[in-house]
Amino acid sequence: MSWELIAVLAAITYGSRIAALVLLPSMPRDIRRVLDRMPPALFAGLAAHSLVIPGVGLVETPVLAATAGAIVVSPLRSLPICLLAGIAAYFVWGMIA
Amino acid sequence: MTNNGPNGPACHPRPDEYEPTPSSAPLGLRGQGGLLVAAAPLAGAIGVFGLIFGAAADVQMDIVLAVGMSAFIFSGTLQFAILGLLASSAGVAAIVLTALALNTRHLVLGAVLRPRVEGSPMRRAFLAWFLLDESFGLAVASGRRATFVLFASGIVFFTAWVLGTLLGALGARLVEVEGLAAALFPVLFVGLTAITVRRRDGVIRALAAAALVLVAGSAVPELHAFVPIIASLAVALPERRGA
Repeated sequence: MSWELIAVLAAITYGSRIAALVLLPSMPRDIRRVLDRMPPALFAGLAAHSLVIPGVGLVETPVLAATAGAIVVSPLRSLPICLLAGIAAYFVWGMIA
Repeated sequence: MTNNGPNGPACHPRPDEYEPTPSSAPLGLRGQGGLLVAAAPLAGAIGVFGLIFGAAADVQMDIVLAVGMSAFIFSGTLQFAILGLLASSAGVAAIVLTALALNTRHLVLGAVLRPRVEGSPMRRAFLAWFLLDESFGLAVASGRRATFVLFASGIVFFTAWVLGTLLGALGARLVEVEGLAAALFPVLFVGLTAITVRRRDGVIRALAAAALVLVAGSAVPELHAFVPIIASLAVALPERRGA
């Protein structure tokens, strides 16, 4: 690892952040409606994504238990409660298993 | 969907002035104190990630480089991926390609957030620094206060990430919670799904996206990094009947 590589990676990362937030022109209404529908699907997709190890399969059961704990309380629509429930489920599973 | 603006239900945007759906302010996001309540556990989780990253990076680089990575790249997903690549002696090209692939989701996050973030291009360029999954989720859930939420939560998360990295690189260890770190990612994303979903069709889209990722991610591991974006776009395209 070198400072030059860090600079390149930082430029790529910041460039991707700035591209849409600053450089993107005003979009047609229909496209904005599609984008407005994306966040929950994107986060659910990322949750599922973090449960799969490419070429191996699903992650270990305590991680699945934590995810299930968060899903159970998700109708409450509270991030802190989801985090606490997930952590609690992780440790409860550890005590049971 | 309602379009009740500050002047009440009679204030409708013109068809070409589409307004993102305001949030119903889920628990933990009411007022500035509420923002802290929502951001604090996330900052704690990010701090723990940072600590684990700092400890893991200690094997492959010195403290200054590790903290510099966190300060200048400020992306846990990418930084952990880089550590994995360095451990497997991957070349610069592989690292750069990984960065390009993992960062594509920022394009989607920025595009979604763009109508909600006000101000000059310079101001938005500054705010772009704080565009993370976590700050994005809080900003989208906060509706019209997205600019403030992105800035305030971004500063807190940046501090937690860099400080955690420094402590980890200095030798701090949290052996008992290191196993928990792997569980925090999906839990965090489930929570972010919960606060950004607004209607029943949103729940259906979220479940469909998750199912698509599980199937496609296992079937086509080469596309693993892109699958969440492709899946979320695919399920967001169909218009709700009567919308």
